[in-house]
Amino acid sequence: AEVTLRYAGTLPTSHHNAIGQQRLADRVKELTNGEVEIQVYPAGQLYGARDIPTAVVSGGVDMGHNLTSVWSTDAVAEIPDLPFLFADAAHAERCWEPAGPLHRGFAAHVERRRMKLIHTMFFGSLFDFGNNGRLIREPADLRGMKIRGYGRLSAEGLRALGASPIVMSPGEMYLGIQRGTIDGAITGVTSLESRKIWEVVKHATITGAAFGVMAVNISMARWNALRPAHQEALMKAGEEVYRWAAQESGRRDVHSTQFLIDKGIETLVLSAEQKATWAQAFAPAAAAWESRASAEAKQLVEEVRALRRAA
Amino acid sequence: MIAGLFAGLLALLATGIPVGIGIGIVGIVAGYVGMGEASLAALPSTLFAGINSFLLIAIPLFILMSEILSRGGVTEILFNTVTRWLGHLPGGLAVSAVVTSAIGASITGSSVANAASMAIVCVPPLLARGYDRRFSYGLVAAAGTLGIMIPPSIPMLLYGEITEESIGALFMAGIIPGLLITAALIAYTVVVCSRGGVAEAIPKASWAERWEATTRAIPAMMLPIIVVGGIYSGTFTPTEAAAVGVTWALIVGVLIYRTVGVRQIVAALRSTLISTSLILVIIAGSNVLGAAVTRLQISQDMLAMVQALDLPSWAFIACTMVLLFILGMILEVISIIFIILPILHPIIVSLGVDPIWYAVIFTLNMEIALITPPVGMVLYVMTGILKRPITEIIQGVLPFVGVLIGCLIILMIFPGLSTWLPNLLR
Amino acid sequence: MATTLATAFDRLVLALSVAMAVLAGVLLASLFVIVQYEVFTRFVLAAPTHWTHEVSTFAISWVGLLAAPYVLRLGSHLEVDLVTTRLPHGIRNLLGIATDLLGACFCGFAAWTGAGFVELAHMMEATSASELDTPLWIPYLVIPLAFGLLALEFVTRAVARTGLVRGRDTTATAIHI
Ligand code: NA
Ligand code: NA
Repeated sequence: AEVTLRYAGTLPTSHHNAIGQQRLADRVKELTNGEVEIQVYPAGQLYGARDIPTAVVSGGVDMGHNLTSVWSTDAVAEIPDLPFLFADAAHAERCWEPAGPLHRGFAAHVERRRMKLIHTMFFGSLFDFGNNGRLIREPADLRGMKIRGYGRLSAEGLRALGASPIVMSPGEMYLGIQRGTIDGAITGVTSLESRKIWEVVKHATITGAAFGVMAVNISMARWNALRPAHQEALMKAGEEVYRWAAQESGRRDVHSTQFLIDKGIETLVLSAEQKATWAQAFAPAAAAWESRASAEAKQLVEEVRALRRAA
Repeated sequence: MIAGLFAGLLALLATGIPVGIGIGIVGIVAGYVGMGEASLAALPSTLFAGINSFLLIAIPLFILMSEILSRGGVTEILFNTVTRWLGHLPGGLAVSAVVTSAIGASITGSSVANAASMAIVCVPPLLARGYDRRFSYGLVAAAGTLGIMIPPSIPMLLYGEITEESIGALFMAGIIPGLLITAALIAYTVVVCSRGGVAEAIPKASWAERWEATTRAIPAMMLPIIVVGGIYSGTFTPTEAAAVGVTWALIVGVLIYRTVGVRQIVAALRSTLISTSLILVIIAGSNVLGAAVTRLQISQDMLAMVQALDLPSWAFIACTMVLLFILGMILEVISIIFIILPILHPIIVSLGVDPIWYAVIFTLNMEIALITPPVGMVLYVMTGILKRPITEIIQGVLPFVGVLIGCLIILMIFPGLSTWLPNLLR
Repeated sequence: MATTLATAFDRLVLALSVAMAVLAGVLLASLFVIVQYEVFTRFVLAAPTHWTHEVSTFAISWVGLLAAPYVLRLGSHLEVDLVTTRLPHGIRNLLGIATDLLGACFCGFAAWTGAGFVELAHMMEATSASELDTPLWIPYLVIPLAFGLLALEFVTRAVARTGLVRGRDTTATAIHI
């Protein structure tokens, strides 16, 4: 191949985002007649999530994917975590498509950090509980529970709901829930299945409050060194993978929810009315976001809400 | 490619350069040759990514725990107690050494630490009672390696860290195999001693003496119960268990036995710092080599090779055991874990092999690696402590390598020995 | 003159190494306290912290690397002397100088690229993406610090092997291999 790009990912190979990683590589190879080869390193083979951003910009690896909030802790990157921002997957898809406001806003943001956004991939539902003790029907049920969270906004959200957020290594989480060191974990419904958390919990609550978005970035230096035809092929393949992942993540969320039910986990999927109650409880977390968001970030959220009304 | 890499690594390490640095240099050269300047840019991020992990915290803490205990004379207390019960039997003192080593293994995560304290405490009495010098060395070295099989275990922690297998399950999985190896070592000892007519018997201890010694040993022997019990009850995680172990070691040494003071604590901190730095520099260097191996897609090539061979999974497992045995002769255990596991684990999983069972036979293979020449950390530590030629220790240890290989084969044939206990926990 | 200079340089590097090792020792003791404290707050007080996990994760890399230069001075890094002990003294010494300089090059390079890496993390405002939101350049700083001093330690050991450093015996090592 004329150009070789190394692409680091963090998810296990069976995860649809890792499959998306491979799809991008395959499609780019086709589109460029093999001139551009993307070598994929899924499952954190090269770097953990937190180390990917600096690794990409320093040239340790050429490109990588991460949840937007791991690429940057700027308020712009936290927009997908804002509680119940998206009406549904179709709404989210309009916001993140290449011409959509969030793609544009996030791309501009990472550009200032010497990276080029190629495309995004939906991770899917991302504020779902797997826990023991009692089924969480409303926020008050969380009071006093020790729940393993991820990242800043989930911790703030948990605290707003009255739970104690716990930081724990992935390697210790399974045993921690099983032995009662902690009461449960908050993660995506797909992870409740794929990370085997369902084996050790009795209850699951699918809130759908946050919606994970993986951004695929390449270092600006590498991007600028590519021929225009190759750049075009990357963007084209990226959009195809984006469309595919949007479908696939929706399908997998549904599949994993059914999986939990089939395994005898008492599973609650929040109704529209319940979501409204939860949204009120999240108010402190949303306010915390507002307080650190720039005018630009707030403007993007307005555009997202406008797209919701338009639908 | 991979052969060239190993040849280069061995040649460089033979010059006497610090191992972690040498592995790092080979990594960066391999990366540079394979893909040019991009690999150089990756150096700092790769070095840091290798050692920036919560689970690694257990390493210094488990080392500190056993440093405090050994400075508090705990191994000696345990050995005296076990001798009171078993010393008068044929080969009793040697059997006592094995049992003490198994108990010692349950209060340390490292075979090197276990073998070192056993060499200090058990070897002189064995020699004084007329046991064969080489036999004694071999026995203590082999029994010392139990340290990484019986929980807690630093290599199993690293195994869980790399593969994301449950560390609690790994710890549980090591218990029965650890007891099996202990039994095998005792059986071999009894056979050798009953044939050879070695050693002057120790007078049988009275029940009063036994109970007195046992009472004294109880606080130390509670440590494994606290560690395993705490993990099982969910009071703390396996990593946190290491800190709780340090606390208990301090209680035992400072308050109960009163053998540990400020001077011992400072000395324990100092040697813990040295061991930790030694291990972390190797981990950092190994991550540079590991990243080069990953970037050059050597594991994919190997996976493709395995698939092309179309081996049944048992044959593949057997091949990996032979490969690990060979690597174990020339590389240090922690380096092997970091170099080979990221390549091997995906293949193991894709073959549908129980990863917990594989971790156990992997760990036993690493026990063997610790006592096989030319590079065997337990051999070196014993050489340093006993001030005897390494060849003498190697000669003594060879029959025991056979015993451990026998255990390895048993564990390979009967996976249930490894998986029953962790499955019970589920 | 050369001896005096070399000796002074050696002592300066030693002082730096000792200082970093002492810092590493303090961090090691704190590591124990922090992890034990988390068990206490979570289990006894049912009020877990949000910082112990992250702080101790960064501390472990600092503990391991900051002590490394001093451990090199002690000769306690794992070194294979199976082959070198069988060489004549002069050749062994020359080989020692060569490997020390090679080690110095590697560590110096790691320190230099590490410094760039720290600067980059600072420029990007990269953080740990947690509630603590630690700027990553702080933990990354250990790479240039530790490897820079390791490089200096390698250089002084090479110089000491030429006999220019008073009162430092490079043949007496604690190496077991
Ligand atoms: Na152990
Ligand atoms: Na060996």
